Order: sequence, then C-alpha cells, then structure tokens
Amino acid sequence: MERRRALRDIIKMIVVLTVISMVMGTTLSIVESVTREPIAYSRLKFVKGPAVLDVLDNCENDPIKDYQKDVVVEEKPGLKATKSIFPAKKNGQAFAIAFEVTGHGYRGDIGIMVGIDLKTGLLTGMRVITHSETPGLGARAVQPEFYNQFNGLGIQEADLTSKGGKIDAISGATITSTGVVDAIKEALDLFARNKESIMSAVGAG
Amino acid sequence: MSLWNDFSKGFWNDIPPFRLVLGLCPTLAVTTEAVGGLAMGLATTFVLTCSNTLISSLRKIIPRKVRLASYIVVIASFVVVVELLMQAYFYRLFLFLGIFINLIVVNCIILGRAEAFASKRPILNSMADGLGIGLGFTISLTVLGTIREILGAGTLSLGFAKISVFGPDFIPFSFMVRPPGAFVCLGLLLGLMNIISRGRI
Repeated sequence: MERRRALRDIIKMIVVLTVISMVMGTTLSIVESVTREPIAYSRLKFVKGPAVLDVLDNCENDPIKDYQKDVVVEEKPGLKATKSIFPAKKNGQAFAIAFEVTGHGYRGDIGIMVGIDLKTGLLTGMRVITHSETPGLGARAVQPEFYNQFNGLGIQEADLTSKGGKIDAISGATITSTGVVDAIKEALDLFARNKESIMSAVGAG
Repeated sequence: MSLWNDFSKGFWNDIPPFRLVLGLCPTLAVTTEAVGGLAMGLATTFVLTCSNTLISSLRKIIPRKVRLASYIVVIASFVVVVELLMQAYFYRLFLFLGIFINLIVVNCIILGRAEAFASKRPILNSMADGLGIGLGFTISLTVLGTIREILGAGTLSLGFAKISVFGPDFIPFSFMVRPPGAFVCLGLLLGLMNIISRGRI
C-alpha cells in the first residue's frame, strides 16, 4: 500500500512537471514566432538604422522596413554573394539604395554603409559604422570632415588625392584612409556590375 | 482579507523594496534613469501578475515536493516572454535594462509571493496581490529613479525625451548614480516612509 502510494506520488510529480513545461514551452514558441519579425526590424533599426538614414537623404519611406534581404550579387567576377539592400523611395519609386561593405583598416575590419543613387551610380554618402582604428587617427574616419568628402562622387573620383582622386586622406592614417576608399570603390564597382539585379530587387528595374 | 485589501496593500503596507524588503538588486541597478525604473517595474509587474495567476490556478494540482521547480518553470517562461516583447517593441529599454530583464527570474518578490500567497489563495486574490505589489514596486522604482537621475545627472528621461532639468551649467551630484548613492537614497526614502507612518519624528 505504501509502495503503491509512493509510486503514484512519483508519477504525479513527473506528469505535473511535464505538462507545465509543455504548456509554458508552447506559449514561448508562440510568442517567439510572433515577435521574430519585430525583433529583427528593431535590431536593424538600432544598429544600422542611423547610418542608413544618414546616407539616404530625402527618402519618403522607411528603408529598413523595405529592405531586401539576401539579394544575390556578384562580388567579384565569378564570386557570388548576398547583400541586404536598403532602398530609398520617393512617390513609391526607389531612387537610391544603401548597403554595407567591409574595408580593411589598420587594426581590423571597417564596416561602412554606402549610399548610391540609382540613376547616376554616384555616391549619395557614406558612413563608417564599425571600426577598431586608433582614436585621433584612423578613428577620425567617422567625422564629417572625412566622410562628407565622398558625397556625389563616382568611382573615378572616390580615390585618394595621391592617386588622382578627390579624397584627402586622414593625416597619419594612410592605411585606414586607403582601406575605406578601397571598400567604397568596391561598392561602386559592385553596384555597376549588378545594377540590373539590384534595381529589380528594389522594384525599380 | 478582501480583494481590495489584497490589491492596495502593495502600495504602502507591503510595498517593495521598502516594506517588503525584497528585489533590492534590480532596484539599485536600473534606477540610474527614471524611465529605467519605470520599465523594470512594469516588466516585473507583468511577470508577477501572470505567475501569481497561473500558480494560484494550479495550486491544488502541484505536488508539494516539486512546487519550487514548477514555480521556477512558470516564472522563467514569463520572464522570457517579457524579454521577447521588450526586444520587439521597446528596443532601447531592452538595451538599457540588459541582463536585469533576465534576472527578474530570481527577483525574490516573485518567488516570495508565489510561495507565500499564490500557492494558498484563490485566483482573483492572487492576481490582485501580484498587480498591487507589482505596481507598488513600479512606483518605488520610478520615484527612486527620478531622484537619482535628477540629482546625479541633471536630466529626466521620460522614454521619448530626455529633458535637462537644471540646464547645461549644472554640476551633477554623480554620487547619486553610483551604487553607494543608490543605497543612501533608498535609506533616506525608507526613513521618510517611517516618519510618515509613525506620525512623529
């Protein structure tokens, strides 16, 4: 009698705990799937949002909400990759896009958000998002005096003055400046090579 | 004990962290900004009310030997729900509160009320208890956060705006936004509460 009651107690404990766990687990999956998209949007908006909005002036839409994930592009001839493209729209038509590229700096990778006008293929602007460059030297790439130089430039002009372009390097930070400039030129090159697929991805083709 | 009594006691007689001296860790950590205190209070209120309600409705089914395990499963799940909701809709607050959202699980107020009240009382009373104590906690945190932020940083964060209360030339009493300042502020508020309730100095 005693043993049977002990067994019944154990079974009751197991059953109750299992059922509670199952119910709570189901509740959690439901909440997770409902919030998955808003969370991804919030993350993008807070981390990349400011840079995207900076390089895409005058847009009437929310480039982050309209972003096209994983657009297939040819990064280098023969090398396919995917990029997230943020479109800027006016009157429902995309007029510029932004995407992120990575440059090689003095102390590591530099994350750069590049904005390109769809019609002219010229830069609308650039912002350095992430870097580990030296404060006071390479880190000055985040300052307007440096990044505003890139506004409106094309692939020929977006080079250092030492190489015939229009960009003044940061004094004492040649490697950083070169890294940033090279990444931006790659971005312009990528756009030119993939113009059609990018434009159709944002509905402007 | 009437339903109203169960609800209203959370606002003075059983108010955490002053009368119900529990949940001090998050109290001190997140009240560096007024809106941080408000957010933490509301998140805790949500978890407390939900867990009290669920635990009370299951109180006759959960065997005594596994009651703590059951309570923790319930509480932890609601905390993750709050964390997901904050991440989705209140991202800036989510970043501010950070790890302290998850630490709501071990906030003694929640487990304490589950064990002391919800496991023994009817559902409606437990819900009222959770809501009252949670809202009282929210008020405490918001008041504490407001004082600490105004004195310690000269600003007041309202979630959508951060206003500078004393202007740009104010030299903040930054002791207030550090842990020792939090303790001192807490103690002074508690002393004030004691004076008020005893009616004499």
